[in-house]
Order: sequence, then C-alpha cells, then structure tokens
Amino acid sequence: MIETIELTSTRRSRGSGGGPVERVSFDVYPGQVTALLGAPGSGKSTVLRMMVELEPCSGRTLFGGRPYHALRPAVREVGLALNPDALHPGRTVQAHLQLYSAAGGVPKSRIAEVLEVAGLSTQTAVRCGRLDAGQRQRLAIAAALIGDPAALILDEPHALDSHGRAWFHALIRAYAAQGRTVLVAAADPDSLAGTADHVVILRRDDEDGISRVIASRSAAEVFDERRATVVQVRSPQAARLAAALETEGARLSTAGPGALQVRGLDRARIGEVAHVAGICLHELSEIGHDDDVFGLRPVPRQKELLPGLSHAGAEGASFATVWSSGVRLVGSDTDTQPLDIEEAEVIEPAVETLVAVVEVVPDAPVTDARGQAEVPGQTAPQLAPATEANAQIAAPVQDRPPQVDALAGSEQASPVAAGETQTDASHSTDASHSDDQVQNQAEQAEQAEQAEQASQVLEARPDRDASDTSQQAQDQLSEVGRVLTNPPQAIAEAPSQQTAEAPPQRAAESQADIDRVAPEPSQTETPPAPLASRRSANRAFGTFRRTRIKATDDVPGGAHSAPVVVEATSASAQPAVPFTVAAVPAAPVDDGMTPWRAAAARAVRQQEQDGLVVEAASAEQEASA
Amino acid sequence: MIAAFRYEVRRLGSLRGTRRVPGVAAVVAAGLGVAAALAVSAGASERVVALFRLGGTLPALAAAVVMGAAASGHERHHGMRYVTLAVVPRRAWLTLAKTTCTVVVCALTGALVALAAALGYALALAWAYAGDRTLIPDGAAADPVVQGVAPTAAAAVAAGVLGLAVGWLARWYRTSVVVAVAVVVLGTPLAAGRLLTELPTVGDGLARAEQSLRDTPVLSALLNPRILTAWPPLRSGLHPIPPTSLAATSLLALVALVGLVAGAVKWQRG
Repeated sequence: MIETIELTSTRRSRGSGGGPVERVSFDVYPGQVTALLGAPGSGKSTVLRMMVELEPCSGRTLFGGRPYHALRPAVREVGLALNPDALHPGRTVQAHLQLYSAAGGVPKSRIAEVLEVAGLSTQTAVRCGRLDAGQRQRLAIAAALIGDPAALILDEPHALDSHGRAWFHALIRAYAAQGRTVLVAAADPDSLAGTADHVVILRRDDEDGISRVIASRSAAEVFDERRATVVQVRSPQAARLAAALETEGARLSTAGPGALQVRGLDRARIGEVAHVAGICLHELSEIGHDDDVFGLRPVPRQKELLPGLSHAGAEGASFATVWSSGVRLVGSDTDTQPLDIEEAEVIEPAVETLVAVVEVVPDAPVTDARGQAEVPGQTAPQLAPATEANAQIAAPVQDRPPQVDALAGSEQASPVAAGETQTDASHSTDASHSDDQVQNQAEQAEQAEQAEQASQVLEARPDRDASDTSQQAQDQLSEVGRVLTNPPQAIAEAPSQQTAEAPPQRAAESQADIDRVAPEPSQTETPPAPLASRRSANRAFGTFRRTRIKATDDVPGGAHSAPVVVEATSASAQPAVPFTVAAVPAAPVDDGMTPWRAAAARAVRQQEQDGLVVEAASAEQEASA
Repeated sequence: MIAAFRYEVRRLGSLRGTRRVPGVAAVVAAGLGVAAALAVSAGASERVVALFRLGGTLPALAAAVVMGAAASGHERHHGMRYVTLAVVPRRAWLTLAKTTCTVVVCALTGALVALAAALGYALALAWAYAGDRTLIPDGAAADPVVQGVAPTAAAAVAAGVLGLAVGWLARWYRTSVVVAVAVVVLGTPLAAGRLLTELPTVGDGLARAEQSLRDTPVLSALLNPRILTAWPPLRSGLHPIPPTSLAATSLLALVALVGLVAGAVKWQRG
C-alpha cells in the first residue's frame, strides 16, 4: 500500500517545470489499479516524482510504511516508469537494464524475461538512441518490471500505439490481479476507464494555479459522475426557470435565448420543478453527458484556427467555406446558436477537401437503429432539407469514390460476418481493398463482434438489394443532406475509375447512417445490405462515435482526390450532432481527443472486453520481432 | 552502499566513453612522446623537447575532466539523473560512490596516459639512436617510466574530481567540460606559476616538500626529478609550470575539493 500524505511543492520545486501541488493526499491500495487523473499540466508527474523523492517537497509518501529512500533495494520494492526518454543514447537496451539489475541485485536472467514481456527481446543489442518512442516506452516499463516489484508507479504511456496500450492495460491489470499495487498517471480519463479500479483526480485551480486532489473514489463512481446527463431546457420564462433550478442544486449554463443546459438534475426532476413553478417549457431534452465534470478535458482548440466555421451552420449552404479538416460542428440549435467546434484535426491540409455535413434539426421524431419504431420521449434529430446549392454539390459527391478512412477503423471482413450472411463478393473485395493498410487482430475481433450485432439488425431487413443500396443512399444523402464543400472543381478532378469501385462502400456507409435518422421507416426499406453496408452498420453500433468516409486515390498513378467526410455520431451525442443512433448504447465520449486517439482508445476498450488483449500483445511482439 | 557502487561501476562500464576517452588520450600522449624523441634526435632545443613532453601529460588531464564530468553532468544531460536517483535513492551513498569511482578511473587514466607518453618517448629515442645510449645527449635520456606515472595520475585525479564538481554545478554540460579542461590544462599551471613567483614563501615551501618527498625511499622512485626545480621553462623564468608539478597539482586539488563539496551539496538537495 502506498500512502501519500500531504505532498506540497516547496519553493524550490515550483521552479522545476511541473505545476505546483498542494496537500496531495491519497492512498493506493494493493490489488487495484489506481489512476491519477488530471488535465495536462495539472502536476501528475510532479506528484509521482515527489512520491519517490525525486523532487523536493513537504509531506511524505510511505511504501508499506517506509519512505522511498528506506527501501532496500528500491528496484525490488517499487517499479518506476516516469520518463521514457531518460536513456543514454549510446547504451544498448541490455546495458540500460543492467543498470537497474546491478542496483537491485537482480540476476541478469531477469533482463531477458522483462524484455520478452515488453516485446523487446529482439532489440537487446540495439542502442537506446535508435529506439522509437513506443519502444522507449516499452523499455521504461521493462525497467520498472525488472525487480519484480510489489508496486508499480507509471506515467501515462503516450507513445504506445493501440496494441501497445492494450498490452499496457493488460499488464497492469494482471499486475494488480496478483495483489500488487499499481498507480498510473494519465491525462485522458477514457484511456483508463476500463482499467482503473480507483481514481484520484488532480485539478489545477484557475485562480492560484496550484493543483489539488479534488476527488479520490472508485472508478465506477467517478466515471458515472463524468457521464452525468446534460438536459437542455427551453422556456419563454428562462430566468424564472433558472432560479427555480438553481434552488434545486442544478448547474446551469446558457444555450441561447431562452435555452438552458442543466447538469445535476434529470429530466423528470426538471419537469417537476417547472410544473411546480408554473413555468411553460418548450423543450426538455437530454442532449448528452457531461464529460468534463472534473475538468479533465483538454482545452479545445480555438475557433480562430479555422475562420468562418462558426457561421457555416447558421448560414446553411455556406459553400464558400473551405473546410479542409475533420472538424465536427456541434450546436444545440442551428437557428439561434452558432456552431461550436467539438473536435478538430487537420486531415490533409494540403489537399482540397470536400466535407459533407448532414445536419440534424431537433424536435423531430427519431427512429431506432432498425428504422422501425419511434423512441418516445427522446429528442428526435432530423435531416434538414437541402438547398438547391446543396443538391448541386451533392450530385458530384455521389460520383466520388470515397474510401473509408483508416482512422475509422479497419474494414477487414471478419469471418463471422462472412459466415452468417451471403454477401456480394465484389463489394467485399472493394471494401477490403481499401483497408489493406490497417489490419490487426484486435480490430478483427472488434469487427467480429460488431458483425454479429449488425447481422441481428439486418435480419429485420432481409429484403434489401445490395445493388440498390448504394444509389438509394446517395439519393437520400443528396436530398436531405446539407453539404458544406469547397469549390466544386475539386470534385470534377475525381478520377472516373473510382466511381466504379468505391460508391457501394460509401453508399453503404451513408445508408446505414441515414437509416438511423430517417423520419419514415418505409423509406429505409431496402434489399439485403452487402458486406460493406453491414460493416458500416457495425461500426456505427456504439463502437465508433464518428465515422469518416474519405475519398482517396484508388487509381494507381492518378491525381490525388479530395477526401469526403461524412460525420456520424451515436445517440448519446447532442441533438445537433449530424447523425444519431437511438438504440445504440452510449458510446464512449471522445470529446477533446483527436480522432486517432479516440479510435485507439475505443479499440483498446473493445479488445479488453473481448478478452483478446493477450493476443494483441503477442501480435505486437511478433510485429516488433 | 553496495547498490550504489554496483550501479556506478555498471554505469561506467556500459559507456563507450569510459573506454574510448582514455584510449584516445593514451594514443595522443604516445604520439607526443614520439614527437619529443624525434625532436631530440633532430637536435632541437631543450625548450621544444620540454614542450613536447609537457604536452604528453595534457591528454591525461583532459580525459580525466571528461570522465569526471560524465559521472555527473553527462548523466543529467541525458536525463538519466532521475533514473539514477530512483534506482539508488540514497544520495549520500551515491555521491560517495561517484567520487570513489571517479578517483579510481581518473588515476588509472592518468597512469595509462603517462605510461603511453613515456613509452612512446623511450621507444622512439631508442629507435632514433639505434639503441646506443651513448649517443643520446645529456639530459635527454628517458626518465624511469614510473617517475612520470605518479605525478600524472595524481594530477588526473584532481582534474577528475574537478570535472565531477563542474558537472554537478554547471547547467550546460558541454560548455562546462570545455571550460574545465581549459582551466585544468592552462589556468592552473599559470596560476601556480604566478603563485610561485609572487609568493616566494609558497615556492620555498613547495620546494622543501618536494625535496622531502624525494628523500622518502619509496616516493623517490616515483617522482620525476624535473617536476619543479629542473623544469627548463621555470628555470629560465618562464611560465607556466607543468600541470603535473606539485604546485599545480596541489592548487588543482584544492579547487577541486571546494567544487566537490559545493556540487555534492547541490546534488543532495536537487
């Protein structure tokens, strides 16, 4: 057990780079994975260094009742992986680990064992300066494990890829399962959502700039609290309603004229309060979950980086806006509220990009994923009508041969999906052709499970025709979607050969999305979907909150094509999010994360659920070998 | 304590510089010794020969400074400081281990370099005069090898400790090493020479101390008779004195000890 007792930065330690901390106290229990969460710069690493007396501070930390300097040898008591770049570039990997083994009196045979665990057994003679970031991270973890310590103190492994993170999470879970103590500092709460048992949250005070522990509780409790619902209320008597809700302890934020976003109260309670106060409500909808209860979300990127975006949604067909990034616009009301940037990442800055955003208008009935039944009492997204200009742009969009972006996950056909449903071989080939870049076991396992879910959905619509799916989806998209795009000449450059290959996949993607938001189920009745359609439906099933379809250059030697991005999201998102899946379980919140990290984090969680972590780790070792 | 020594020995052994720096210094010193012998055979002046032989000791001091600084500043330069402190949390033992290992390694480095210089000089002289000692001019005969080893090793230890202190105290590693080498090679002999000139009492005291050392049966075989009194530039009123002289070594050791204490205090707090 690790007891941290009122660690406070001293005057000398405040100038050492990390944020100052004050009275940081928490306990780390054996048999559990404890996460030290905090936004970047909140002093997590500082606290870790203070715990092992690498940084001057007041307070103390006891490891089994003893301070760190009293541990003999420390390597066998506590394993540290704080800075993966703390390497001498001229030392070999083995020589680096021999430092630890020499200090801890560990036999040299242990070095080979930890290198095997870390997947670096083939890198023994490689000098540390030649290791990439991920290998350095693994080496740091191997060094922490070399003494087979009773406690592990690890900083967040930023540099690990999705497989590496899966391996890391499996490792610390296995370590904790042996009754040992594990403390992991992380900035991203989602990365440890399925791993941590106990969470200590460090938050920096905006006023004095000093970080303090604001919560230390079980992981389930914290992550439930993180997902506190956010209810949007609209009333002509908003001021009175706000006063009444504040007396109930709700936390309010304005969401436009007459609109409030309420946290801390559910819809039923808000309705009761309004009823008692005699306040008329025009809207009472649950728009999502607050993922920033503890201030863990990084500061969102500035709107100024992408000028003109804030007016794109309000103006509707604002085709003059050149949008060459994967920014998703989120707004509670497109009529009254400027769109907000939820996430931004430049996909291909140098390439002219075509972005199609199908907006959603609240106050419309919503269908579930099967497109059959309305979900009562839920805010209903609806596709906004297209303008003439939109239709002009949407038509070339249909001819684009988009390719599913690798960021959205691998599209490799899973054997489960292939075995359950007869699929169109050509579509399968086309789809898999675009996905040769990203293939791994974890994603296959993820898709296998998703395919099972999708097959259940597709059974409700057995009469779909694969050949018609593409065209119908494009038609519906062009009719109901509102398209924000760059000048159309970028579209005209699209190679004609792509048209024959990729549209089924894109159509399937769009079809799956449109099916979920179609106001009339009868319009979504289509023949059996091809494999690409099934896969797109799979991906939408709570696994990936957002899906991108990007047109890429499929023609050998052809000119680069403009990517097409279609935004989609799940039911847990706000009403103004382009697509909504009503019957899908709440997807993990990805706000503030880059799509790459979000996809990796989701893949990791899915892998852990599937129990395929060990396979992923072995695959990684093979890959490194 | 044992863990600290084990860690430090392993650290030194795993660095390529631990082997390369003394090796390069020995090669350079041997080359300078050969150059001095060729200068003697060519009939060069005594001053030129003395400068060549003086140069043969400088690589030992430079190597010692680099090795000492590698134990402290070089470690911090590569971010290994936290690793070291995390593995060996007892800093006092770590300080002692670093100092001890630095002293030993620098002494060996100084002895190696001095041996290389003496051997280069002796072998080249023998080759130049075809092994006939009678042809060698007076005063140019090769000194007993061991007489050059002990002073150089002592000076190298002082230089290594100074490098260790500089690595702890200075923030910029490479710059501090260059400055420390310049101080050891040039600054200290100049300062020692001026000290002997302006403070004759100190000079007299050092001369008496050297004479007493030379009278000691064991040390007489280890000390070079030219260390102080027979050094031609000093005898002609020129400075600097050789850095391996007793005066320069004493001054360097004094500075190094002060720096070591300051650096160790900073290391303990940091």
